[in-house]
Amino acid sequence: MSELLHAGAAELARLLRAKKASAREVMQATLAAAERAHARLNCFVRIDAEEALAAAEAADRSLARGAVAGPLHGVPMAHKDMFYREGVASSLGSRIGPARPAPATATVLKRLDAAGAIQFGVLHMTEFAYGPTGHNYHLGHCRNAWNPSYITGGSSSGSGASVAARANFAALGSDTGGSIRLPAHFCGVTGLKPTWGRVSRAGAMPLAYSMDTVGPLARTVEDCALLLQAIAGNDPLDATSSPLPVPDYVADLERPVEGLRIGVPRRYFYDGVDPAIERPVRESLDVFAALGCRIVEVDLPDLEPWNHAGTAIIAAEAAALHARWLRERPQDYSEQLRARLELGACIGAVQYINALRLRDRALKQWLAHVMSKVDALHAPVVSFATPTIAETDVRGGARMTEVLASVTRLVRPANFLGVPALAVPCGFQPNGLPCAFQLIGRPFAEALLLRLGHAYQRETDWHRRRPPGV
Amino acid sequence: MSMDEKTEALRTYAALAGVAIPQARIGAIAETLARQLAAERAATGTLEFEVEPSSFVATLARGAS
Repeated sequence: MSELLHAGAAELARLLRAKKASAREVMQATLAAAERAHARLNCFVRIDAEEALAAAEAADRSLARGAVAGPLHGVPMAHKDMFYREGVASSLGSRIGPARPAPATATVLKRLDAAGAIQFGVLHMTEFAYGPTGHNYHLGHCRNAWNPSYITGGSSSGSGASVAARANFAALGSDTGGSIRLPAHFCGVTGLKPTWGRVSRAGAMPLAYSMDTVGPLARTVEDCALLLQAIAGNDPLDATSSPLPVPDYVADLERPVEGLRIGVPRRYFYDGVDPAIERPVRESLDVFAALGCRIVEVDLPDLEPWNHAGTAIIAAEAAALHARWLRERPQDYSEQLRARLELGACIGAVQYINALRLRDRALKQWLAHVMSKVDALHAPVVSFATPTIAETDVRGGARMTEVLASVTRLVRPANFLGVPALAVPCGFQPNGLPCAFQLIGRPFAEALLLRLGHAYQRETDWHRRRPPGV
Repeated sequence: MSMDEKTEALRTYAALAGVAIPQARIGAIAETLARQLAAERAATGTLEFEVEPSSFVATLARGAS
């Protein structure tokens, strides 16, 4: 049974449908793995064993009657603790959190329920999803499954750690400034930040309305496609969700990638990159070339102002959302989050609005000068070797802004532009920690990114490697 | 305007919204904001008056094809 824990969500769903495993047995094994992982990594906020086992038994009974709820029937999942479930109070990784149970369930959870997934717990996250390292001074820091002294990345820290530790088949995360792709890179899992508006945020904790996206972290690209298929699409409860039709992401995975143009940026993404990162990321290009993709060098517009503008939008919107607590309970925030919210409170309306105005022009430039030449841009996720928790424990001190900006430097552009980006494991650093590349696409081109990522994973086994002791 | 005057102005601005920023942090905030503003001004300084409103969402949808 324990070998099943190493299967991906899609593979497990196939085994369950074929009745080669029972949902109850799988859930029991998952719960045991979750307890073990949490003891070592502090990756769960809550594990709902009783309810999950009851749901798994119900899933087995349905299957015995020949009734399959959906493509994720019986697959155990736990999610970042910011997606509301009716009647349950989410921690939001905070001391403050919402004191009241949620009045309704998040659209993404309802859609995963409808697809047959069984939620068995909620996961660690950075306080209010505003931090890229995985530190949390209220819950304790989340730890990396490959080496517990190292960071997981954030803010979807528990999502990355639990999936890497084989204690969770797949997890939802959110990505406002890199919060899915960073844990995917640091933890060695696959993560997809969808286009802004592709997935409903109704019932998900907001951090910054203009940038928030919800997406999956999973073992494989195929799993990400399966989860995105379940959660994507217009939602009357989220006015920002796009009415554009949802493609068949899963069927599209098998289409050929030959002839697709992979862009390699001449500047910015490789400026000052550590050889420990550059080597595996560049080597992954050889795989795409062998698959028949055309590798094309491209010049990029100046991304630094876009990063500054994106940072200002997130800070201002977060400060507005937190204004009341910042006035009335500032002592209940960690020093780091309080410092970042205070900065946001100092951003003037003209600066904020001009940052938003810049987005439209930036996206037009991006489409005209970059995406007209390539089908996807290939780049590192992070430019330096994975640091330890202690090395990045900057709290709200003098190094905070510099350290946090360095972590998010390569992931922020996709957030500012609102475009999709897929992080895929591609090797290891000398310190034994994993490494990923990201593929950045046109708006709503998730299918193409997933197809490329799936083709890469068919040729490589980095995503199948297990952390020591797992 | 001196740095001291700038930080005091920021503290006052935040205080008007009810946010009390500790003295120890206001200098770092002022420096970060100054960097952000300089970069943003360089990028947005050439934005034209919009004769009709720009729409990021429409550009996103158009960019899909």
